[in-house]
Amino acid sequence: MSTISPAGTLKPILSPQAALRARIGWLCHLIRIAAVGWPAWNLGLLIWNWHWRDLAKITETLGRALNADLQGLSYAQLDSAFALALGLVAFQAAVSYCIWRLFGTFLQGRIFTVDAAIWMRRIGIAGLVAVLASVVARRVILFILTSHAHLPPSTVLSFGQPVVPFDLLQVMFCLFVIGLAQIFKTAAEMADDHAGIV
Amino acid sequence: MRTTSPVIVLYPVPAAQSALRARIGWVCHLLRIAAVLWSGWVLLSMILSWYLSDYVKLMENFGSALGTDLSGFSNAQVHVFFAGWLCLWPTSAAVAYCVWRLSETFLRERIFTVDAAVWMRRIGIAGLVSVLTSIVWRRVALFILTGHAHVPVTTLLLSSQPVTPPDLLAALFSLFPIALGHIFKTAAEIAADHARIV
Repeated sequence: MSTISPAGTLKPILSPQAALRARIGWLCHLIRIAAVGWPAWNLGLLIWNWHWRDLAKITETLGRALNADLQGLSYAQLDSAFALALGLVAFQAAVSYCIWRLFGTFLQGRIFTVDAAIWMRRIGIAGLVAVLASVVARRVILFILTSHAHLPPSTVLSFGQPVVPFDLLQVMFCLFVIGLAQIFKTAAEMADDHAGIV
Repeated sequence: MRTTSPVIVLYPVPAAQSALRARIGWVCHLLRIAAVLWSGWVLLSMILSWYLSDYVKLMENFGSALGTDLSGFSNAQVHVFFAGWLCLWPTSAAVAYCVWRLSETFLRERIFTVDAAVWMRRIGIAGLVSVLTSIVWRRVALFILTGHAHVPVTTLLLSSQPVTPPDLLAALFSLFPIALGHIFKTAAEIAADHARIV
């Protein structure tokens, strides 16, 4: 049998493709639900915490953690911090949207295709941007909440770890997806080349 | 775009595999470094927290968050807490090991193979186990640290969210490689079938 025979190759493959679609269908739906649930949950928590914000308790807790007197913290400062955190949810929503679209592509049976590869790369890039934004925003929020206390910048900058292991875990996931995107893209290009020959 | 492309893609083309290997090599190396760093960092954080924490301050902050007086705790309680936390590390190390092995498989140009698929699935399963144990552990830790204070069980169980958005994100990170593991496994099976026919 010729290796490029359309009859010999395409016919037996459609069936595994359908079987694969059936096998990963539930996982794709689950991942899409989790992808939507994650930023929605963060948004819900943010709104909840903003609505029930307790200025005195936040002042006391943050002051104790920083070992500083933060009396005089204002609602305007708190609201600015919440607004910044809200901006982070937008980055998370972008990642979720890309995940939703990727698994939508899979559910349509379009697996080793250029558009699947593009959505994967977008997940990776949006994820890396989201992690970076989150690392920066955490420090900026700290500066906002302590701006009235005139703490030395070194005290604020040295508080806690600027980057935590969970950030690195997220970076690892993004790199994993970017690597797979390259594999899927090459696979799709090879498919197109081969189809051109056929 | 063709939905039947997997057929052609999966046919082993050594030159293309080498080109792909060259293109994804840097991501694979980066991924391996990130995996080792992440796992090492988690371990280091645990050990440093154990040895460098001010137990009185730690319990004071914890009591404040719970709205309970936790003075009168014993050092043994805190040691049991940190020792238990340290026992979670192997689950993180397992994830890092599977990521390392998958990257190694890719670097050996064994991309659309069953072993790559198996390592992907293992990443996902290890990740899910890690998330689950961490959720359970957080509840157990509450009971350990408040054992002396006779806090009502309902207070402890309802004191904070048992599952948090980062847990959901970690579960999403785990489901992702499981789905891709299915795809790669099917791809590898199709490739093997095709090779047999040819």
